Amino acid sequence: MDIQIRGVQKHYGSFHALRGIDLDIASGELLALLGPSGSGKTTLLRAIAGLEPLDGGLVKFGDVDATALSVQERKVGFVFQQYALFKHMTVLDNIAFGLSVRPKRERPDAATINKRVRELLELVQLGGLEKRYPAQLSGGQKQRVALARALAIEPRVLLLDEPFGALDAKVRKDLRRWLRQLHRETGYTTIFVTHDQEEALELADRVVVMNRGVIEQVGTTDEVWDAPLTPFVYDFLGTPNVLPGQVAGGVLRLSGASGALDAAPAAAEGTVDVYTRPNELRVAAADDPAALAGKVVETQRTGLLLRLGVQLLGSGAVIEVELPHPDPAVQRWQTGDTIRLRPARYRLFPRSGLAADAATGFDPTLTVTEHRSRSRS
Amino acid sequence: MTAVDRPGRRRSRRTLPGFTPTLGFTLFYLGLIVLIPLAGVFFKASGLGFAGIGQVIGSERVLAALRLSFGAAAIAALLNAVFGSIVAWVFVRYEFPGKRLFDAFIDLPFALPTAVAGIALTALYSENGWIGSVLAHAGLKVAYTPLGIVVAMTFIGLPFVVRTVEPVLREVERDLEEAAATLGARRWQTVLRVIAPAVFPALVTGFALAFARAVGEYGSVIFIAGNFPLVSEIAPLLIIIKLEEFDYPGATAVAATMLVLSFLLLLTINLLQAWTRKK
Repeated sequence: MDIQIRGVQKHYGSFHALRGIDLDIASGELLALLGPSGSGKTTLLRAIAGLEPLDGGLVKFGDVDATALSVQERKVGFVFQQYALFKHMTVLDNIAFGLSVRPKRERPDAATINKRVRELLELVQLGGLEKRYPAQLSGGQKQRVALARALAIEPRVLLLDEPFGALDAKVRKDLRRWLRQLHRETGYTTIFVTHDQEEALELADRVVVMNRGVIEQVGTTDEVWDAPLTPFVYDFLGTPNVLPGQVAGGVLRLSGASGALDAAPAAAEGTVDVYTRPNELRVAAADDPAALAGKVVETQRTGLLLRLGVQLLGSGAVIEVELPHPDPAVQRWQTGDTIRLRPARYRLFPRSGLAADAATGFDPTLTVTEHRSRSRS
Repeated sequence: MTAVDRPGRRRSRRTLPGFTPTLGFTLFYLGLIVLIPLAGVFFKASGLGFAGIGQVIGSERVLAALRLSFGAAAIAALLNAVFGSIVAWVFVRYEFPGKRLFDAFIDLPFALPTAVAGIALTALYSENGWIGSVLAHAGLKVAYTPLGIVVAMTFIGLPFVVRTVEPVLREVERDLEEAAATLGARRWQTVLRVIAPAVFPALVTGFALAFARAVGEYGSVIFIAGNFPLVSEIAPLLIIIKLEEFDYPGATAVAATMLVLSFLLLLTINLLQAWTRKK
């Protein structure tokens, strides 16, 4: 089932959680909503499920206007962060719940329900555990029961809120691979929320990067990684260095360098921020006029990478550089060495002020979850 | 004997030390405060012999009083279980002006001297009282009837149900209700199949507490009951009457019977609870 989201708005009191979200999700797609806490990703997921009444906008499942449907009528499979399993019911009863609450004329008979539950248990690889209670299961098993329970109603779309948040690293990795495979087998349109960029990039067909109630970028892993549209996306995926620069007469010059680095698009005239990742910086020759001179203040060898902290001579700022495994033939960098660097890849953004933050009433100390619970009570 | 430690012979260390002294204290305290006085009751009653006790209990007046005390207490506890859960639900789930104030009102039956409660209820429900006069038009007589006893017992039992159910209800995560809704459950199905089973053990505890309190209640009931033998005379009052007649063995015989009955009922409720929890 494909999903269209148009102009969705949500307020919690004075807090603007979703500011006009537009998004198209193709049938059978595996989509990640990625963002820091407070970005509105969970609110959007709950809005799709119908758990949050909207202040404006439209959610369509195929040709059906879902905004007019109740939670029950939407038929979404929702897997909650803490699983929300019914503690007093066995695994079997938990999974059967969605079928057994159907009105009598739509309800399958007991034998059919039983058969369906057993199929689902096999699908989530929990055969033989149907008599257990949730308290007797591990975190990963609970997660899979929650998934089976959501799949039992043959949902139009599968929604997962931080599906791996409460699991330890090993289980998380296994479950991630398994979920990917399950998605391939079942073909449900699946949307999951995460704040873990690695998880999003590894698992999803497309990633939606959200920040403060807006979508910053939608794209494949390659797209959001290689061509971040905004400084936020750059910042959120990795830790870029931000170098001040000037664009004048169509050429870019880094502040502190004597020569021009590159030709720059005419549109970016003026003061700019040059975003470059630690692994996109290269050691430059001593006579390169466009390079920045600095002093190595920190070295750290991590596996195949050598990570340097370099204090720029011009501005005094410390930037991070990642170099490949140092070849014995090449100079080994030591603290105190002088080094010249130039970015091999970078993106320009107009100089951002912090003034924009103040106007939105954004309180970084409050997460959306807190706003949500406050507005309820 | 060698000096080598033998694991089997060493006293095993518990991860939480202090079991022996705390258990000792618990038993000593329980004995001092509860068991010794109760044993006194049985000791005094035993002076009558089984036949004597049987004769006291078997009398029409005592049987009627016991039936009334336990029957009215059960009805009152049931009423409290139903309406107390609703009150607890409202307090947990909704915000309304004056909530803190109403919250404090719930505990008033705990704090109020029972005689004050009894007099107030009697004044309200007697035939010329505010509520009693209205009910009298409907042909319903509350004060000085068994119905009045139920009213008084309901009054004093309410906080027990509300205060035991409230924290458990608070624990029922909203997630669970939302999960049920996404799975297609309508509201009544969620309440019946998700919320009620989670709250049920606490509700049984609240019921038991309210029931036990109502069985033993004296102060508030005797004012509204009218105390007509065979009709509206409760067992605790009968004990007092026997004491005033210096019939100590008779009084303790009734008391011991009440004790045994209450104990059996509470034990049954506890076992029932343990059973539902295990399930």
